[in-house]
Amino acid sequence: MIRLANFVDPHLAFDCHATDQHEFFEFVADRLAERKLISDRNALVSELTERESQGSTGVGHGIALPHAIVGWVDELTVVVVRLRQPVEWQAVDDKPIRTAVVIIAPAREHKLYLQVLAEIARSLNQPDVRDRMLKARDPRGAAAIIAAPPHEGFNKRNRRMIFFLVAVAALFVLAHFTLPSIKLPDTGIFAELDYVRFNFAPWLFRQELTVTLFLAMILGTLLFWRFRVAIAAASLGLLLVAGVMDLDTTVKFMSIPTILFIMSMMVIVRWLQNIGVFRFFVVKAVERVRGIPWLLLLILMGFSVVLGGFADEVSAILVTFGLALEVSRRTKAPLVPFLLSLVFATNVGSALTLVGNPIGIYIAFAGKLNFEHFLRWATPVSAIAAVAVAGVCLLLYRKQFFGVRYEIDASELRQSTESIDPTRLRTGIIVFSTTVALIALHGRIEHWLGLTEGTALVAVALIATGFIVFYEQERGRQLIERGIDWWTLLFFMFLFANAACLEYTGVTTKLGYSLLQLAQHLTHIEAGAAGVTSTLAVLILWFSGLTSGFVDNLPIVAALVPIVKDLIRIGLPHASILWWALLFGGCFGGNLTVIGSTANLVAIGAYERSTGLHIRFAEWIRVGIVVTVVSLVIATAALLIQVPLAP
Amino acid sequence: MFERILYIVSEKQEDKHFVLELAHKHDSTVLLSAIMVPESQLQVKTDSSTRARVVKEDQERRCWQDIYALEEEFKAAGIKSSVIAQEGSVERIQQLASAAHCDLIVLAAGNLTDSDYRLPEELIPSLPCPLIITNVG
Repeated sequence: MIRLANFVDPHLAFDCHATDQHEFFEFVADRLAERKLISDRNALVSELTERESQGSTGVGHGIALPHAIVGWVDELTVVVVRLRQPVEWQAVDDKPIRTAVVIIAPAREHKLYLQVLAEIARSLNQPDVRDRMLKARDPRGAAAIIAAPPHEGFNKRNRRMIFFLVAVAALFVLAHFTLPSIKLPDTGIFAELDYVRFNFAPWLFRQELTVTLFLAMILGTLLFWRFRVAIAAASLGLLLVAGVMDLDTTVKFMSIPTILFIMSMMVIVRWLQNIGVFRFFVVKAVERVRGIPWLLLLILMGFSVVLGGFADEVSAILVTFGLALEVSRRTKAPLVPFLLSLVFATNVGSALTLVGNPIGIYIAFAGKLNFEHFLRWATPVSAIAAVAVAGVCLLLYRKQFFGVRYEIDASELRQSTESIDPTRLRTGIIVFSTTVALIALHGRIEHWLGLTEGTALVAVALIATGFIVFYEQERGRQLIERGIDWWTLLFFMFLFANAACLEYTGVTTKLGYSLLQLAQHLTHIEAGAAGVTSTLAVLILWFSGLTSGFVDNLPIVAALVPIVKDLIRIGLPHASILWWALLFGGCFGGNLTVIGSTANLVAIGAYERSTGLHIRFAEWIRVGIVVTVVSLVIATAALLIQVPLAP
Repeated sequence: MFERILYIVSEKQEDKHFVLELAHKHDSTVLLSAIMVPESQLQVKTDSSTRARVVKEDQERRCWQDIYALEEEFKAAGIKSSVIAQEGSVERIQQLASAAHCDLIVLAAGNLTDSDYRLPEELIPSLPCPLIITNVG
């Protein structure tokens, strides 16, 4: 990276009163000739004029960068000029020029010339730099603004890495002193399950290493999101090299059935999306709202909840927000209320069934729960929370949704569904409804056929995938290659193995035991064992809910799953309620901040791409906090009421 | 026929010879631009404003150098060409093409890899001129 300060000389910065391009070139040539930087002023004027005839050097936004390679200069020269009156330049955006930076260089400096030109163009492309230059007290000040060193990217990157490494070292020290102090009792169920071994070497070192690497992985994904797969893979590799786990155990911990199911669902949903099944139904519903904004919002939110629950959160938000974008483009309806409301509905809806969210799928496999369990324990709470969230959104955005009406041309909306092939649409609907029905019955199918838990669930998804790939013929390959998010699946596999290692080494047993002690301490003695379970449910719900807002929710859930497993294993009464606490916390907590869930990121991306506008962190959290607290309070009440009913 | 061609330069520039030939044939002026992802969008992907800024600066630096190098190449081949600044994603080419009064847009398929696959379909009706999406192997 070059430093512009080495090339932009403040003594070559001027204010100019030229009224046209030719006058401007003469002005620049005179200044350079005065300083003996060029010998022939006329040659420079004709060179720059000739260069301009080959295409305007106006780059837009009132900026021109006249540049040329010339044989008769000794070194690269940069001249910064502010034009006191705008000059016509035939720039591509037709705007007259207010600032011009002339760059000339000898042929031998060609590479440097391109670097300087690019750096100046990059600098002037920033609106604040252009404004500051025009407002600078004198031309030298304007030149200094261009020459100001750019942000030192390398140092910043290093600073982040140093912080990461120091934090990892600190985590190891913390684990080294904390974990040995947590002693599991050598009596009762703990002795029966042989958990006492976790109090001694070599398990203590394994625990310290595992917990450090797991927390480093979470911190790493937070700091270097793009490298999350690399971080999770490296963490797993270190566990293998350190002898904490062997290869067979690692593969077993990767939760391949979960991965297979998520993979198959990705293919199914992407296929339905390609066919236009989701869009078809959403457009049909929107046509009927007759331009009533609050009704439109409710319908779109309803679809977000249902699609979030039965397909996946990303497809749900792409379809419903995509339609909101179209409506907004035609009616000038404010988009942010739609964006936030639909994302909130999607996240809450993703807890509706087993298939809505990877968290739900992971919990289902870990807890041996089937679709019917979800219908009984998750669907009602998620539905009530969705209604409450819709109410909150309508209340918070009442000015935007009441007392106005949108002019929606139904025929225009219908046009976007005209390209949908009716035969494929019918096939899509049949395949999707059959798949959902069979998934809903997977518990019973497994019982009838004597299969182990989860087998029919994975089998149904795989059969549907097989059918789709066969049906699509040539396009089937594309569907597998592009429809499956391999990057995310790999991350899930490594993450699951890392998280399961916490259980394998006894870290989660110790944490579960500490959590149990804390819950016993917080619970009134008369509430008994069920009271302790209630306290644990509330602790897990709010902890996972609040942390999921700031960290990817799956690592949090993956770390808490073994704790819940252990609490069930040691015989805590009604402990299965804790699975639902974890599910609601992970899904509802995603609404808290802009980075809380994948749906949020996808929607924000679509919003920014289409409008060029941004949503600030504070703008999101102001509404997100209300929605998150309301939905978590509903979940808390539902869990507390149902604790005695849980197995 | 095509007085002004807006060429959205991709990282690999695999279609530059196609644009050169086209511009020669129609005696066109080529407007060179690139798609630069806004900082806030990068922030979403990278989780931090500092990191997003660093990534954006690196990306911009590469983009501008590529564009100016290409401009030199076009001029050496006798094609009139100009550079135009633009930030945003593929959807923004509509504004760019309108503002620059273009007659044709050339966009490499590689530029669409980061976008949702439906975008071009939705984009095409709103464009002020024809669009060629190149996929040069």
